[in-house]
Amino acid sequence: MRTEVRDVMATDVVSVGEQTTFKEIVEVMYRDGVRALPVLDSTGQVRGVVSTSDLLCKEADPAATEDFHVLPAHRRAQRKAEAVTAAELMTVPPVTVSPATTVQEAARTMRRHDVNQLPVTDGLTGRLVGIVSRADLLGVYTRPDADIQGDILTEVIADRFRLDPGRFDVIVDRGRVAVQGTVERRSSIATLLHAVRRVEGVVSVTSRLEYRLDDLYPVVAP
Amino acid sequence: MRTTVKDIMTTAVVAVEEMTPFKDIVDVMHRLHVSAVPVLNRTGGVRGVVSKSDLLLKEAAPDAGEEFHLSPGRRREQHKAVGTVAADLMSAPAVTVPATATVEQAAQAMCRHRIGRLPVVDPDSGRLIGIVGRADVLAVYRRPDADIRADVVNQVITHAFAMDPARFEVAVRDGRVTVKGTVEKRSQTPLLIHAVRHVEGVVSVQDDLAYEIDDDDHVPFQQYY
Repeated sequence: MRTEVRDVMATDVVSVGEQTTFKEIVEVMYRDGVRALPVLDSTGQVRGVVSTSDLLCKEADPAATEDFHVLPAHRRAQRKAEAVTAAELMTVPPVTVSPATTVQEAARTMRRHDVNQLPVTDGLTGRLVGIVSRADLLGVYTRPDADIQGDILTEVIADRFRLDPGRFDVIVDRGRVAVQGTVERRSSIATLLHAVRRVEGVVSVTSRLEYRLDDLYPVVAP
Repeated sequence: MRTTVKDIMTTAVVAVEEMTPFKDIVDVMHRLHVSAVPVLNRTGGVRGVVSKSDLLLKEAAPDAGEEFHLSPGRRREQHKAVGTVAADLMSAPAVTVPATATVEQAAQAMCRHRIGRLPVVDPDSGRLIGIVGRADVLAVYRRPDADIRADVVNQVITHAFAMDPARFEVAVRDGRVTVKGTVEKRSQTPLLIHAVRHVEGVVSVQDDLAYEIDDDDHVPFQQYY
């Protein structure tokens, strides 16, 4: 089973309104020890997210209003540096995920949009139900080695590839997997390793697999 | 006195070595609730920083090793995604600040390099002595309004501009400063506002300043303040 966002998200989310002032936001972040706050409108919809990086623009350039910028990105940073309310400071549109999103998909979304937190919204009502951070997602790597080994032997080797797990040696050391054994066809090595890499908590995979039949065409060097 | 990085940094800093494995780094981050750790070489110099975003690349693309990328940026990400020890995972070279830097300089480095944590090094020896995060920097905005007002009146108006503080009315609410009063020359207005903006903890400045002499008879451009 792949972990979903609903399993790792924090459900006690602190949020602010659009008119919350700069200093109140700083205080809320300190009080609750959070780095990003969803900004809700009066109907409870997530309008944006205000994070420590949005606030930092002001300290980095207190006199930003005195400058004139042509580039849209610079103007955006300038607007944030002079902003005083959550609505002006926040990053819009908000990048959100649904509770059923997989941890892997959430990690991709964070990377693509270069954000560290994702508000989790209900797919139907659009209301805020939680928030997920990078730390929550990295939790999958704290899985015990024995669980990872079990998943590889039963789910990947036995169930998906219909191979005899007794013919394979799977060693897991701090998430690093080494697979030893013999497969029938050379072509199935790549697909097997691909599946092992996707088992939750796997850090890296080393193959010591052998084959009986070479069914791969000679590969021309790229 | 302006706050320096030395005053706000965390001195209990956890660092890892170049050969520390992936999972040990995750464990350290989880146990100590930090989002980035400096990577030290054998002589104690800061080689790079491993952050949670560096580690998350593996979760985002577990089979990155199977792909081929041309762009250097993608290749760097790919290298991190397949990495198993700190030296392969870290962002290098490390962006560090000397302990003597001001908070404003630290904030600038964070914004420019888009990073959340800066290792703090001793300006003489270059050794790691602390770490400073975005939250530490934002702490300057928790200053009481009365302190900000005192700085504006004493340090800026009286000291830096040598003006009579009685001619000004300074109000501070939630870090937002309003300055009312009369300056001698019109050209002093933008300079004064500029100085007030740089007072620690100031969120915004509104001015209602009158002048006695208009010495700014050829303003070439709208003043952007």
